[in-house]
Amino acid sequence: MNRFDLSFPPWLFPLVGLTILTGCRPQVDNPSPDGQHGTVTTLSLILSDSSAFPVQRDTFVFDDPDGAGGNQPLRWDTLRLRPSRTYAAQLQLTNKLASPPQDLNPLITAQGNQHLFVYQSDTSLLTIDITDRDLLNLPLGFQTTWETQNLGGTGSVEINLRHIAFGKNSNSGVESGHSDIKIAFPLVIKP
Amino acid sequence: MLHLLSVLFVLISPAGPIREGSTKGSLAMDSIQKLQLQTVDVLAEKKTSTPDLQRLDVLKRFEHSGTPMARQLEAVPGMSVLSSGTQLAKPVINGLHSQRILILQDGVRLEGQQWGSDHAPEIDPFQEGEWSILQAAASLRHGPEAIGGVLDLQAPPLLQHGHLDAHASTVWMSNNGLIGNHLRLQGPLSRNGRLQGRWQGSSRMSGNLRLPGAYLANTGTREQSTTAELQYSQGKWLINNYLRLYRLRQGLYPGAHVENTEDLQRALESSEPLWEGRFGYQIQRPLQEVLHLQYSLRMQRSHSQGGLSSLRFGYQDNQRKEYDTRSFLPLPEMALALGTHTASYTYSQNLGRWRFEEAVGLMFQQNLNQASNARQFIRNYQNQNLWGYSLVAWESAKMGRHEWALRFDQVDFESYYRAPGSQPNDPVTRDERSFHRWSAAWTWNYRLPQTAWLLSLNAGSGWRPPSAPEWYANGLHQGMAALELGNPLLGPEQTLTGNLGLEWKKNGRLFHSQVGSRQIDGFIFLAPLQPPAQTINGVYPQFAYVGRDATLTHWNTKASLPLGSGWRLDMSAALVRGRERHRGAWLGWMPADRWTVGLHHAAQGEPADGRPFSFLRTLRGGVEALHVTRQSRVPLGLDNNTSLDYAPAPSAYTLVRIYAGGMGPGGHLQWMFSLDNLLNTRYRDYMNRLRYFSDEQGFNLSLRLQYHLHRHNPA
Repeated sequence: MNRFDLSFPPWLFPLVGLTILTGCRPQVDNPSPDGQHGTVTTLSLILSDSSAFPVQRDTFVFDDPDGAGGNQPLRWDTLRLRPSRTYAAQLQLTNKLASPPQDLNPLITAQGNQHLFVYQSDTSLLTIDITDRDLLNLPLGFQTTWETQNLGGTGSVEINLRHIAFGKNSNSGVESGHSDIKIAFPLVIKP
Repeated sequence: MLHLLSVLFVLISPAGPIREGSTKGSLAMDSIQKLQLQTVDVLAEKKTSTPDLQRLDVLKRFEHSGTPMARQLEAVPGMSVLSSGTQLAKPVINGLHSQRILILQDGVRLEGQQWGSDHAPEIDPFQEGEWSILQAAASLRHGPEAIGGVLDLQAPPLLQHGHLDAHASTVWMSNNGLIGNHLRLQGPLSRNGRLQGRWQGSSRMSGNLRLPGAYLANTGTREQSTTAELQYSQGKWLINNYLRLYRLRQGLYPGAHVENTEDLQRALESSEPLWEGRFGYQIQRPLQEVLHLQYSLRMQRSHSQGGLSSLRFGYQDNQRKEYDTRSFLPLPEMALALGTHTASYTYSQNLGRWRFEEAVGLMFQQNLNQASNARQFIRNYQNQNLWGYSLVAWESAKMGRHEWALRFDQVDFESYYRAPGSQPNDPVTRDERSFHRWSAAWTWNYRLPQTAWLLSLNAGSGWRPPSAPEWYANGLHQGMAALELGNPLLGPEQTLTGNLGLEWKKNGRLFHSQVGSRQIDGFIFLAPLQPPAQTINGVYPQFAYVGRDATLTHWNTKASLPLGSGWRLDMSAALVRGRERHRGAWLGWMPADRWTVGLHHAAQGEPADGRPFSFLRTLRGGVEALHVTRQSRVPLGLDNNTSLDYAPAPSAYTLVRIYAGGMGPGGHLQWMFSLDNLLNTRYRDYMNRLRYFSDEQGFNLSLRLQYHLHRHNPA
């Protein structure tokens, strides 16, 4: 006499299990909208000229609301600055693929010890300095000052967000880690 | 649902006390055992149509146990590996892989995400039993998509009589600190032998890979697998339950997750990996997690004259999460759940020299994006497949064995999608597709009279509907620094295959050669698309899926020559060529030519019999060299000059491996040492996607031990 000589055949256990299994899948025909959490679709650069009165504020935007691929960017501004000015700049990153659109600044600030914005300009008419710090007191780059020389001219400014998963330090630069954002804005400095 | 399954697991696993008192060795039991083996042979009728060469013997498997399934299969000529690092390896049969081959796990098609080069099959590397490659008529049983072949991983038959059989093995590797353990228990669970069971569990843990001169960051693995099998047989009836759980957490080399073309260029130009690591077991982003569950229930009844009817149900749940470095949130970029239900009925009957087999079946599959607000690189879809086949075999001493197979498939596919920014109540974009086609195959095995020559000829026609990413992919392929676009206009691939094999076996000498050709109309692959796309992260190259007519040919050969006194020389070669038919351009990601030569020695005489030092008679060892040529046949642009690859194909390389093993005293313990990449050669392989970023694994010392509760004779 063995343990399974019962009136209820043992192979019926799994059959019962199988029957239950077949009924419990979530609905496949009701998908959530396509999106990319944490993807940057829109970059806004807000420049404030505090020497002007009232304070003059300009916003420059790169906007690709459907993310990488698909349609070409909707908006890609030219940075228009005046000579001999000092601007306070604030960067704003948004994910428009999320609904409602998602402000990414707090997320990246919280992971500041793994991120660094690198600003590079191909002209000597402009100097950009990072003024904010991450938790480790290393430069981050959401806030910057932009100082223009007393000359007009053209060029470009590239904004590069480096994701440095391992070992961000004071020597980290444009070659550290990998790139989360890399976008060049045309630049015009004109009185 | 997993909770339900664990309850189910508990219900069937503690299958009662192991009963003692079998009459081992008695005449009556022996004949019952033979009968059982015959039943098994009838079930595995395919064996007669599989040339020996396309099986991987158990001894060879022990030498490589604990390495991914695809790497173990590389020992078979014609098999190679498409990989994304050492651990994520997919099997390639004569140049075809992913959706173009099928993997059978205990008779059930493995259903997982297969479309990426980093989607390795969810198979326990300690999986036991016989592994074989099915082609032509035998492969049509399992689906028309298997235009490259079917990998059949059969568990060994369950024990009806005797004692509990236990078996434990362990693997250790020096290169990445891999520690693998496996335990299997099996035996009859009732005195009358009607109830049989088997349980096995394995785990594998490894750290960062060591290349010649560097460690590769974040390349560790954690893997666990368990199976439980319970079978009840009485008279003509047999009921088999099979449950398998597999779990993987795999670190991915961050240097390969480049996010723009400049980073890619920098990585390509560096001869050293840009992300060097130290040795460690820690796994962080980027990584992937996979959970696979498989259940099958088989009920069969045998009839007179070798007749057999069999009813089978199966369920699989494949959950895959992919985490990229890029995300600012602790969430996966992609979380897919693929659920598959299958049901089939098979009837087979022998009538004199004829054998008939008929089957009908239904498959229902759902793919679900589980992460909300995540990218839907693969849309939600459901897929139904209604099929039937008929297989007829005829055998005579004069004319050899013929097998004809005819199969019909009806495939109904529907996808569901909501565009970015749409609201939960917005209408869903539905896309329905429906296909029905026939496939046919013929196999002929013929022994030339009075000779040791065996001729094997097969021909067949098959088809494969495009997979969801080939239709709908849209966006950045994570970590590939490329935008991929699906093509909704793609139709099915249609294949015509012919293979000719010759085998000669005499006095331990063996020669085998197979040459084959496949014409694939509408062969689907990624082709570059102009112009490159501007994104917030720089400029990306774009690729789109296209379907072009292609021809693939292969030649595989193997020779084995005994040299006397236990020495043996083995040689093999495998060549594949793939071209677009109209333009003549080479197809990308085709394996380069592989040549092997090995000198092996096995001690002569009777196996260990318990006398002192008799275990020395089981000693064996050898040296093997593998040479892989440079893949010079790579796809070129329309000007027939510009390479479409990111980097030129890597140089040819030669690897040397030595091994030694045998049984310990008493015949319970089997051991094996091996030294892979003995010369610590620095090389890259064309079929590894990491070749853009890093070298392959360096020198590796492995130690394998296997303990059998009962005395074991590996020969």
